[in-house]
Amino acid sequence: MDDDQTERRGFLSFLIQIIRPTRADCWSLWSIFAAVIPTFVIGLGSSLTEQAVERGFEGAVPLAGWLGVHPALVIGVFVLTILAILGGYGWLYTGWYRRLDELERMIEFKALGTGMIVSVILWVISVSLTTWFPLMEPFVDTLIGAPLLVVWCASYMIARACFRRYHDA
Amino acid sequence: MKNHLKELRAERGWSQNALGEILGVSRQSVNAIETGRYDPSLPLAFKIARVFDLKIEDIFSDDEGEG
Repeated sequence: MDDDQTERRGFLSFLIQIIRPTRADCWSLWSIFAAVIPTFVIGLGSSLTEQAVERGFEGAVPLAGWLGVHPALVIGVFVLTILAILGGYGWLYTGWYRRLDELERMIEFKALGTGMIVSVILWVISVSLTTWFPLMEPFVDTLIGAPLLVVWCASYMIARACFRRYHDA
Repeated sequence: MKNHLKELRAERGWSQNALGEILGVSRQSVNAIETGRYDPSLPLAFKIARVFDLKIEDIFSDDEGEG
C-alpha cells in the first residue's frame, strides 16, 4: 500500500483493524493472552463463587455479608486487584512492551484501560442486577461467567482498533 | 503542534516506512506525527532533528507561537 494513501474507512477495513497487529513479529500473540487470561480468571472466579454460594458456602466470603453485596463482587474485585498488580508489572517489564514504540504504547495503555473499565462496568451492573432483581439471576449468571471473557476481549480489541484508526487516519 | 516532517521526508524521497525504520518507530507513528495526531516525545523529536540534520524548532512549531 502506498504510504500516503488515505486508508479506506469502510466497515470491512475497521474489522480488519480490530484484529490487525501493529508488529506481528513480537506481540500479536501476547496481546491475545493479555486480553484472555485476566478475563478467564475473573470469569472462572466468579463462576466458582456462584457455585460455592449455591452449595451453601455463603460464609466463605464474610466480607460480602458485611458489605451487603454479592460474594462474586468481592472475589472479583480481589482477583482483579491482584491481576492488575501482576499484569501491570509483567506488561511493563516484558520484552514485548519494550519493543513497542511510544505511539503503540500509548494506544495499548488506552485500549487496555478502556477494555478493563467497560468489562468492570458491565460486570458490576450484572452482579447488581442479581442482587436487586433475583428474577434476573438466570440471565445474569450467563453474563458473569465465560461471556465476560468475550466482553473483555471485544472491548480491548475494538478500543485498540479505534485508537489506531484515529492515529493512522 | 505543526511540523514539516512530510515535506522533509518527501524531499529525501523516503517512504513513511523507511523513515520509521531509521527512527526505530512504526509507520503508523510517522503517519500520526505527520498528520498532527500525535506529538512525539522529546527524545524522538531530537532523533528526528538529527536524522534531518536540523534543529527541532526547524521541524516542529507551536500553533500558538505561529499566530
